[in-house]
Amino acid sequence: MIQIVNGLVYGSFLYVLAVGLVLIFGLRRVTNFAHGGFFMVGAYVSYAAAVHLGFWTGMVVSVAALALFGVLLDRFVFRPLSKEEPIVTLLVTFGLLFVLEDLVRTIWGKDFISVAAPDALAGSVMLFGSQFPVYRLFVIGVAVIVALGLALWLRATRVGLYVRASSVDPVTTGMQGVDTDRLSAFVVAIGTGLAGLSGTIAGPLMALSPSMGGYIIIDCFIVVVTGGLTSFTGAFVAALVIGQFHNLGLVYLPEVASVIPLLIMVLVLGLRPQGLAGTGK
Amino acid sequence: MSEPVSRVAPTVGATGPAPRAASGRMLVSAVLLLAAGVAVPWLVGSQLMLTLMTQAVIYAILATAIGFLIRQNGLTSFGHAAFFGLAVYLLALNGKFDLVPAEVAVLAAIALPAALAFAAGLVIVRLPPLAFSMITLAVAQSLHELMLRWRELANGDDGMPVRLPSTLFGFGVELFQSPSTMFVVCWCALVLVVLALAALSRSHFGVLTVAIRENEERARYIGYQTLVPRAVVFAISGAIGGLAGVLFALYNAFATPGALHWSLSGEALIMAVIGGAKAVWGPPLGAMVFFVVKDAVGDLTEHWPAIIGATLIVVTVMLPHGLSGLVERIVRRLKDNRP
Amino acid sequence: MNGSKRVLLSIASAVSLALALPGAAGAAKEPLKIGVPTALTGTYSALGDEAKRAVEFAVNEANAAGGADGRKVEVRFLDTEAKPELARQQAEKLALEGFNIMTATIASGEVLAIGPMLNRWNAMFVATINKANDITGKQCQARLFRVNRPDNSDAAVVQPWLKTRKEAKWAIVAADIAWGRNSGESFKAAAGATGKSVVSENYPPFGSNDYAAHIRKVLDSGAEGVWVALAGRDAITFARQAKQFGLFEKVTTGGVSFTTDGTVKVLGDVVKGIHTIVNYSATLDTPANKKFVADWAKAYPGEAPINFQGETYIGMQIILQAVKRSGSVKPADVAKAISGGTFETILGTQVMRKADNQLIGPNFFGLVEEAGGKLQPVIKMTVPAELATPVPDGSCKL
Repeated sequence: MIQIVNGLVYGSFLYVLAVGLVLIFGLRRVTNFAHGGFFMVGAYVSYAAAVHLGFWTGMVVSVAALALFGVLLDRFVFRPLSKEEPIVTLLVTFGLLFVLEDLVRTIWGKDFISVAAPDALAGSVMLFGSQFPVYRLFVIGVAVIVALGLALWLRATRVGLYVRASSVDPVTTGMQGVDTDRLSAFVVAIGTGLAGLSGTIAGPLMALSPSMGGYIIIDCFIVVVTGGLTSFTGAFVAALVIGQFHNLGLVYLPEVASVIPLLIMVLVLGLRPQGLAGTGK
Repeated sequence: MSEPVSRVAPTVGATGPAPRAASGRMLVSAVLLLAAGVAVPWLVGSQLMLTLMTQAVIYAILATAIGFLIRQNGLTSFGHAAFFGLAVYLLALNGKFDLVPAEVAVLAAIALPAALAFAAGLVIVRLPPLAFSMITLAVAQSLHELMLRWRELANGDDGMPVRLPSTLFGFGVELFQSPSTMFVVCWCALVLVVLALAALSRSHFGVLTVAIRENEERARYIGYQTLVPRAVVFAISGAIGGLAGVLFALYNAFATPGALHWSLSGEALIMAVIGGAKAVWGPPLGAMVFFVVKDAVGDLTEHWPAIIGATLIVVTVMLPHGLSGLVERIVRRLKDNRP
Repeated sequence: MNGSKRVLLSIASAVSLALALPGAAGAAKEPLKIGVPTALTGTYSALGDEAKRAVEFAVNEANAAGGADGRKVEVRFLDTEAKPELARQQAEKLALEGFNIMTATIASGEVLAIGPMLNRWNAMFVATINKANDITGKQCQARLFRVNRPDNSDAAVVQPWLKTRKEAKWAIVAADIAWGRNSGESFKAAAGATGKSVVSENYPPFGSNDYAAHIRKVLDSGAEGVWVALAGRDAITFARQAKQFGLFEKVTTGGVSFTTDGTVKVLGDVVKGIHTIVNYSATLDTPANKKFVADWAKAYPGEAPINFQGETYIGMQIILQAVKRSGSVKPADVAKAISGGTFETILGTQVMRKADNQLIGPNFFGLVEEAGGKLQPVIKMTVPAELATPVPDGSCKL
């Protein structure tokens, strides 16, 4: 019924954000606490660009800007710190989050911002006998395109092969002659670019504020960990499952709905510590 | 468990002077620190300074708990606020429902987090490190949600006061609420905790758990039980987190779900890592420095997040072993330069 | 002491007094130091900013007029991130630094954490935004005052409004926090008392990202009206999503803190036609308020004071008048002057009830529509103070 579709929408949104985190973790083995911050910056950049250039251009600008930021991030933060303990990079991403929030607050102010859906997506369709916003179908569509795109890229291109190899065994892949540094930069850029994309999509759904990252980062981590930190399919499945059960929880078990994602994660980790599709490292 | 310690010692941290001299030095340092702490209220007249230092020390104790877990188990807890907040709420709820005498509640607020940590630890310390971390996050967040929703019990986000009797353990309760005396209480607690953990880390148990941290399989093959020691470490870490919560509840006399929130766990983790978990005294040092710096910067500007964030990045990159690593390096260099 | 010594002493004191008096008149009076522990960063920073501007406006206005009772007014802001633990820490700092007359904190939890400490710190607090009933109820304090409309005041105005509505079946969507739950409960009570029925109750978690499930439930329940108790980020997210589902077109919508001046500014036409409780509005037609609004526009061109700002300004008015009345800036003296006092505010003459330190005042209901070329909540119904500020329920023992 319609509630199932609603669950798909939230799951799709989570997927686009989470898969970016998976990409970054897969290659750099970094728990990126600043991912929520990238999401937030993506939302603001697309909003700022959209004011003058329209929603679609705003989306492109946001993805491009965040991807560029990802390249810099990999070069100047992840790469030099890759020799240190992972906790060091984790802390740096925390620091980055603080800085990003303050920067955005200074530039765009403390007031909330609400973005309307672009005209092309502003209407609604009849679905299962009730009015359903086109924009939400768009969100599902974006997730499907991203999932298919990634799957194709990973399986059908040479670079994709390197990425898959690197996420299973970075050392051996490096020894085989793959320039893991250039590869990482590329992949991290896609990861942050996807954060920018999910930030753009979030605009017409939720209020923009400098601290908006904090509202989805936990769910995002839950999806990534449940799916198996380096698995894209895992993230897809986890996102859809968690989105679905969370939404069903809101409908039928509202008292416990907010802990359902947490419970699912604990359950999965308890039965399969490497996550649904994780490879065990 | 009858194998000599020396088999596993080589991979463990600092080799130094003979154990006797080291523990002697530890005791002397502890006594000096305790004396210094007692002297502080006389030297520092400002109530403001004293209250800030008291609160810094309370967070230092929480950070110590997290650091100990990292050091002995190699595990990072993303949810230590669970132990902290649990202790706070136990005291608050006991104050409301008058179930047991306050002294018993205080002890329970340290024992219960320890027991829960032990029980949970038996299951989760076996997991891959990130799975462990995420589960600690999940448990803490679930507790947070529980306290937020169960309004009839604890008033939700509006919080509840912690009612205390007029005397506690024979002392008037003002002892725990006036900055000058509470600072001494908290400081002594911190020094004793660090002393105990330092002694523990040098003991057979401490060496064993580090060995398990480095290579669990090998320790098991040698014949050691590897699960229970790790769970015990987690329990100790939980107990210390509970202790911090107790002191917080006594001093602030107010409980809110914020005491269980992941942002508190995150801040305490930052404090522990900035201090450097390799040394037992690293995390409390990091906590106090972080607290003081954050407070000072917040005094100056509302853009403190940018400054603190940037500082965090710089400090972490330049000092991957934290402040304690820096101090140890300096001390070593001074020693090397001695004629 | 024998007689002659006593006479000598009196002469000596009289002389020294006479010598001291001119000196005392010439010496500068101690400044009035206002402490504001509020949310400058984090989730509530937008509200904290509003409160900050209101305090700054009042302080600047007072200083431009020669100060509070001839005293310079100083103010200091510290960030609490709307976290009660941090609020307590920052309030203590402010109090110990001498800024011990405090106001304008955002979350009720913060004030409830600060309240019991006021005696210990020799400070006082005037709540201008916080709605928890306990502040002037179970957890009332002698040095803690509230000038804004609390939850029970909002509850008291729902019934008169609901009586005027034709819709018989109502749904509730309220944030699952203390304030939201209180509003939901009081709406249910008001519905029962006016012969309406509640066909759907929804309490989404605070900070929800997706309200689709709840919107769907409301639409499926056959409700003709929906009561929304969501604020800030939740309000905006919900409104945007509800608009996409066409909820506002199908169902009459009313709420509290949902469509305030602030959220209407952000959402615009999305929330046109929604009914709302209004605690303060720049459109209120009293001479004092008109002057306030005009002065505000001079200080902040193109802007009108919004609900929290009006209420915070009232708090400042009361503090300043109390300082003058008591001739002192000591918190104990100022608090004594506030308790039970009568004050001239932008809402008229108001009394600070002695029994529970709650300022007695009217409450309003409004509709979001165009007024003076701007979309804003416009007051349609006034509930006078006697009804709008319920009598103390006895839980406060001052």
